[in-house]
Amino acid sequence: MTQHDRPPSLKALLPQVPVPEDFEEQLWLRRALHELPTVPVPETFEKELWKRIHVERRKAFVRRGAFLVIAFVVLLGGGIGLWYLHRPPSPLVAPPLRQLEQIEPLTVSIDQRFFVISPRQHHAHPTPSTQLRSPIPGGDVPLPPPEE
Amino acid sequence: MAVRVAELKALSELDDEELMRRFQHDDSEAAYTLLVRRYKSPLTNFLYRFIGNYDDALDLAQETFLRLYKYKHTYDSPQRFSTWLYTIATNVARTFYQQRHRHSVLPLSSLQQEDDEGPEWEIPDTSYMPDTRVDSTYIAQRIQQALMKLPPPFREAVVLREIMGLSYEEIAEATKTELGTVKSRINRARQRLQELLHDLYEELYGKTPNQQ
Repeated sequence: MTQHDRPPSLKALLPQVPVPEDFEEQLWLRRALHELPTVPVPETFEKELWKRIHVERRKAFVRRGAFLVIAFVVLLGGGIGLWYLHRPPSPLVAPPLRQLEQIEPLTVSIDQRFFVISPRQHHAHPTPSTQLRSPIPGGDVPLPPPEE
Repeated sequence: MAVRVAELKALSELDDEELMRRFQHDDSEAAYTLLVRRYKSPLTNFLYRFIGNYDDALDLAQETFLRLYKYKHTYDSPQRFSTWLYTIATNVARTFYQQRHRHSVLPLSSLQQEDDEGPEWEIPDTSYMPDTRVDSTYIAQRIQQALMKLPPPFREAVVLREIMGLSYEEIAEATKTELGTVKSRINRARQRLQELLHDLYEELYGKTPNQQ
């Protein structure tokens, strides 16, 4: 097989893959980002962190305590309320009401010393108020001065 | 804290998940201390790169560990500990942002923006930046400034991927986002960073052939 008869190599058949012109710039940027200096962390970092944790713990403790107190008060109040509504009747606190008694109607015999004034008789006699309305004889005479 | 050294030594060989299980079931403060020691640096680093302020990053790192202590019962055993911790950290950082920018002109909805890059966020106070203490001061500062110009969801994703080294799947789990969205955010964040830092690259390596 001569050189002309030989089939073209695979490399020659495949086109060259284009590389972007800014390939190096892209590479530099990524390297520069990667190589940015690490920021230092102060030695007190952990100490300050634990301080904050303790403060948070205390806050959580207070919150839990307040919640428990409120829950206790609510439960206690509710319990007392329920007990009051459903308590058994006590003779000391509230004595039972007396049973209703049937009272016989009272009949009184007519007393003979008294008499019933009929409406006609009542009008025949002038009333004391009518008598007072008439002038009193000698009523307009001035009274003598008081003696010493 | 009454964690004995012997106890710490005895537990030091255990992996994160096992330490978390010990802390969860036995209330082992030694296990918790070891987890804090393992993650305090990467966590502070992530939060600093995300928030852009060193003091805030330290405070939020402590807040993250505090939540880990308080909500240890929410850890699901087969879950990878680091992913779970970064979930807490991202939530802490997002809450911080929301509180900080409540009265800002920037809309909070941009935290949830999927495709729109949204407005550029303010560059944080750089009065104290740890980067100033290393030789590559200038480059590190420029990169941090560029990061802070990214919308928070993009920044979060690219920091977790490129700086913290999390996989796409872990980022999706930690940020409670779809895998496709994570990939998209990372790609767009890289493109945006490249645009923002192009002049720095040229300064360092000269003009690229396509720019001439």
